[in-house]
Amino acid sequence: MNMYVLSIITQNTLCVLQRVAGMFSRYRINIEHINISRHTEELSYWNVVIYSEDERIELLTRQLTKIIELVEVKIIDKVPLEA
Amino acid sequence: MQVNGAKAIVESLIHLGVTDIFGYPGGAIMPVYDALFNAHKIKHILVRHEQGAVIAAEGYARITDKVGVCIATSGPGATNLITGIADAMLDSIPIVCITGQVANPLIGTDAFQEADIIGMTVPITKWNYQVTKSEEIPHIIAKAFHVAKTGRPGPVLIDITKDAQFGEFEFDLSSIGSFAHENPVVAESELSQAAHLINEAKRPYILAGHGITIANAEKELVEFATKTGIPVACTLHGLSTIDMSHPLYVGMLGMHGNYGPNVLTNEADLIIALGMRFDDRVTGNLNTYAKNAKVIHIDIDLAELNKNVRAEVAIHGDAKEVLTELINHVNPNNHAQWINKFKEHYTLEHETVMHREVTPQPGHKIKMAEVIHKLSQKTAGNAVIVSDVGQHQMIAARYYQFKDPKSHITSGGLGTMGFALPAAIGAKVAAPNREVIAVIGDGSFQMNIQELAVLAQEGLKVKILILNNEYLGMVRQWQELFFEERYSFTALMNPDFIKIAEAYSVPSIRIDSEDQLDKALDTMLNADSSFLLEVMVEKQGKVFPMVPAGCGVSEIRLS
Ligand SMILES: Cc1ncc(C[n+]2csc(CCOP(=O)(O)OP(=O)(O)O)c2C)c(N)n1
Ligand SMILES: [Mg+2]
Repeated sequence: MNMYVLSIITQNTLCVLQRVAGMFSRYRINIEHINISRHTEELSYWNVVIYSEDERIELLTRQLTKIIELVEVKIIDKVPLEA
Repeated sequence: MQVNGAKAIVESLIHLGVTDIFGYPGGAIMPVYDALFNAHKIKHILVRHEQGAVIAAEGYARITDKVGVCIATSGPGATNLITGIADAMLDSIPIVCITGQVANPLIGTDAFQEADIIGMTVPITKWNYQVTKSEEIPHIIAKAFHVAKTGRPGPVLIDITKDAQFGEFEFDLSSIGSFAHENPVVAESELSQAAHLINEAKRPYILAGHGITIANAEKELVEFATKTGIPVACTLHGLSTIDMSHPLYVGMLGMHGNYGPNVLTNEADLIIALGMRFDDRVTGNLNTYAKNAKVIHIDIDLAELNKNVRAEVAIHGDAKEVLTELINHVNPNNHAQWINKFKEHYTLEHETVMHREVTPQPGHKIKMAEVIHKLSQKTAGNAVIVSDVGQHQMIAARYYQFKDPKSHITSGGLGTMGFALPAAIGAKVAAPNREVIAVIGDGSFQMNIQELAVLAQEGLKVKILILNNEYLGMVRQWQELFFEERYSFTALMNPDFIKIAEAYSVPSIRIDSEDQLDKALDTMLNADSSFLLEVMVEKQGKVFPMVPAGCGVSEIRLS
């Protein structure tokens, strides 16, 4: 199990929070911390902290990439957790 | 040109090349219906339930390269679309659903027929969007079509408030904007790695999926297989990507697929997966799947690569483009010995299962496979088979000899009972010159039976073949095999389908003995109108071979 910090850029639209958050819950990954802020009128910057196994996070980020309003997703930190 | 939003919707659809839409009116979509009244470039087909509209749009998209379109009102109209949208999502079908919504000031007030259809369809759409301003309409509709069709296709829902449909604005086609799309570029190194594996392999094996159909890569598939001499098996959605009489075609994969194609997956040393996603119905238990094989996986959806099965070479790309390149990289070859193995397995399956299933037994009821086998012969494999969900679906897939591309239409991913009749309607509207035959179980038929009304109203010559076993047969089969014959709520006391057909002005006949079968099929096929043929079949038939749930493909049972 690892702690991951994800950096996400999306369009700043109404439904995008539900779409992105829905993808996490679909993969049964709990969001431990989330921060979304308006970057420009069009774009939002997200910072998300989750706990996950390696394989699921890879799958999750690829699925996130398919969201039309999503511009970019990056894993910016990974911290192994004691079992 | 000053128009209201509703007119802008219709003009945008016409501009995008839409000629047919399926729908059902109601309060929140009435402005659009008013705009359709004089729109002679668009034919609107009135269904009898919104699920019929969305599935008809799917059938339309599945038989053509076009995007299927359906419209519905807010609230219950919109929620009735949900099953079809989920179906299109799992099967990667490009459709655009347009729903009316209560006026913007009423949103969030629990207004009459208000439902948060955007919220409800987030997980089952590729994209959705709520329009509240008329000016947005041309651009959003065009974007919906673009998103639905490009990359891995899928359903899009556009929810449009009633005030946005009424609002007037200056409509200008140039406000639509343009959308660029490029398929992923395939690296030369990936192609040469793949070619190297292919050229070295002793027992290579092609698994062809829906991606071949979506990319229109049928010709390239055959060319690639022919040059390399590699046997081809198809997934359920891969059926009809290659003529089944082709010497390299070895059969169908999956739970009710053919014996050899499943068992030999574990003997192959190289699997070339083309536009397929290693669905659990294809792989069975992944822990024992294809353990002797390296894998080359080609798919347009990056998220499918290395999802269920690790690939040595994973190529993110369009099947047609990748195959076109790959053909030039591989060496001519043949694998006669390896293909002989498939033939031996075929002989075994034929002797133990198929022969028995297609051969009439005097004094016994007709078997589903006999009907499909005869239908296949009589139509020379030229019909479009639209199947529903259950035993009859698997039998249609197993015993019809598909010849031409896009001639097998079924609900694979979601397994939506009630699919076949509306999907056949959509297919027939899109391809009026093809012989469209819906193969439907007695249970499934009753899930969208109301759509029979469309056949008469539109004069559609859809043929309906009901395989009536008076059971929810597939569930009954599982009860027999895995629940110690406890037939819990799977026996059906059915209505008289002939009387129902008559009430809907669909000519029909029912048969229940072998000697009537030939003539009845001829009557159905020769009818110059819609026609319903009900065949009373063996009640407790079972579909074999079968890979029991949770088992590996090698554990496939012949009985
Ligand atoms: C909407 C829906 N509900 C339930 C099921 C589960 N299910 C799968 S096959 C089947 C039986 C289908 O019966 P019928 O249409 O008579 O086909 P048969 O198997 O008898 O050929 C059922 C209930 C389903 N696939 N779809
Ligand atoms: Mg049945």
